[in-house]
Amino acid sequence: MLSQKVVLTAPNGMHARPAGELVKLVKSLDGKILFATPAKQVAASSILALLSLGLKCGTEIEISADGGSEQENLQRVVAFVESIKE
Amino acid sequence: MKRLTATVRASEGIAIGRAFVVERGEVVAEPPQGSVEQEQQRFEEALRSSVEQIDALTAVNDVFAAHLEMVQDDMLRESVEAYIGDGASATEAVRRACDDIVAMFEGLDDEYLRERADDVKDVCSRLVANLVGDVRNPFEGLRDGDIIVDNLLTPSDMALVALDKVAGFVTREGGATAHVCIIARNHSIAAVVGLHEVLDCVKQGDLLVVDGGEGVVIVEPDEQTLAEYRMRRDRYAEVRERESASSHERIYDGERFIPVMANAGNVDEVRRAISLGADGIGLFRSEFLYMESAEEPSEEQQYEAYAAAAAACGELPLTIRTLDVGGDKAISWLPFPKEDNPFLGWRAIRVSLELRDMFRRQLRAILRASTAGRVRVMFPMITSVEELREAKLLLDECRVELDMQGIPFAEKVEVGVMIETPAAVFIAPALAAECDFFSIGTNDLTQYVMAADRGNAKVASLCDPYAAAVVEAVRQTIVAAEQSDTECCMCGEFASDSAATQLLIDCGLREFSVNISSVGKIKHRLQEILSK
Repeated sequence: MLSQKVVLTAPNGMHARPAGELVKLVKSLDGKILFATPAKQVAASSILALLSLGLKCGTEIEISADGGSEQENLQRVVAFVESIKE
Repeated sequence: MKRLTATVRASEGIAIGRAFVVERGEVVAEPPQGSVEQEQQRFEEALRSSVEQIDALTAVNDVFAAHLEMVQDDMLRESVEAYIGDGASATEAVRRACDDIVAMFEGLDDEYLRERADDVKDVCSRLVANLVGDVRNPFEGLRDGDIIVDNLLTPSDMALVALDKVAGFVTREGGATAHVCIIARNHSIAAVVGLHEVLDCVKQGDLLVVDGGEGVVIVEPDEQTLAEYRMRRDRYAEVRERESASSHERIYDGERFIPVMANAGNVDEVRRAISLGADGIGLFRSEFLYMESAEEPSEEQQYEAYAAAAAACGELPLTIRTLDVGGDKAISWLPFPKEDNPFLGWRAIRVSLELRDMFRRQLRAILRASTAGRVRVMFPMITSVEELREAKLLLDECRVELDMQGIPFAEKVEVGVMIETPAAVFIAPALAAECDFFSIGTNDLTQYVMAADRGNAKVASLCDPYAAAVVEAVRQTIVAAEQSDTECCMCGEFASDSAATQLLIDCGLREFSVNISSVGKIKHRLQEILSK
């Protein structure tokens, strides 16, 4: 399992639209992706679970890739999270 | 007469009309109709229908793409299946699962994210409607000029409402970022949300006054109040109309034409701006092409987009700003190094001058698009004459290349510089001597002049374009431009602020590029000022 910490810079936090896109991306990967905050850890393939983390602008998230091409999966998810601008 | 006040500002405007109180069929708790397996089966069917319905709505609004994920979410499904396994009917199971998820969201400490509970409710009520076979349109019987009153208006509801008929919206739940507020603002419809006592005070067909700007709803107003609000409504409509009438005017200061152009981020926005009366596009942000795609957009893709935008402008100028990334704007496929001070880091022209092949592809695409209209090119974040020269040299190299390949481009493509750093202000006379136009970017200029990060709440008040130092920087830029006959436009937020128009005219500004929705407002303000 590979992990990386990312600070969410999207001004509106992880809201419905980007979360929907993120879930789509995660589902297309060949391994599992987990999102963790100090409070809890969830599978990023569930939009409800993701939104329930309440990720605001400035929240630090630990993203983990488990199984499959971990390195590439992790990189793609991290790049997506960093690219959310709305 | 009863007066209700909300603390949330939803959508400005004044509406007077009859209340259309939406009647929602109350779903009663029912015992299971069949075995656990049969209830599971019913849920699966309702889910399939819901997915189909939501899928068809994704074309209406992006938010439904997220709903599509929600309705098929494992968390929802597992919870529903567990309740059915415990002996609940499918309908009851969906309602309980919904309550659980909503409760989880309502515990969040961020208003926007908390309000996503509304999306969950929307998705679950669609599932329930499909389960009980209630597929009627809750807005049947809506008359022209009615004011819709409801507990909550979800994206699914708003997709059913005939917006040209509705005079206003009032809801019991919801905050400023609720979907209904966004739609109401986009269509200039008055709305008040978060009015807790509204359903207790308003009956079907009651006469209502809705003042969205003040967050006030008056139920069954007396004659005097009604007369007063009718006047206010008409005055508000008049101002709106004057502004939209102004939007197609050409504004003159004596003999001199004062263009009010618009800022646009994609081809659709260019079309909208031109149809609304903008005198051209003063800032076309090319970033969208780079951010929307999974890799660098090819020269061909860029050419097509720029040419379409140029064609949409017709005779009017299209000012394309070359790639402006870095700072707060990242691109997923372009690896940016971690920086301690991204706003003082590798961004905009600094990126382009390093990734030269990518920059060349963009410049070639821009040059080629110049045959489709009046294309101008503008470089962001310039801090020295050398940077401008280097960028112009690359542009010339591209011209030679295209020429040799026999690919056409316009003879004259004007070159401009964004004035958004204090450095550019200091050397404005030297820059003016080597380019055709300036465009003052007040958002970045303000934060660089004031050394205050606009995203940092503690110092955001310093980040004020009205600050004496910023106004002086603007004035110096305009003076430098005038002395060498270089055009000078302003494309930052400040240009869209009608309270600043007089100040900018006094500073000598004679060219504006504003938000699309502000074109009419700024033209109207200019007419007021210049007719004095």
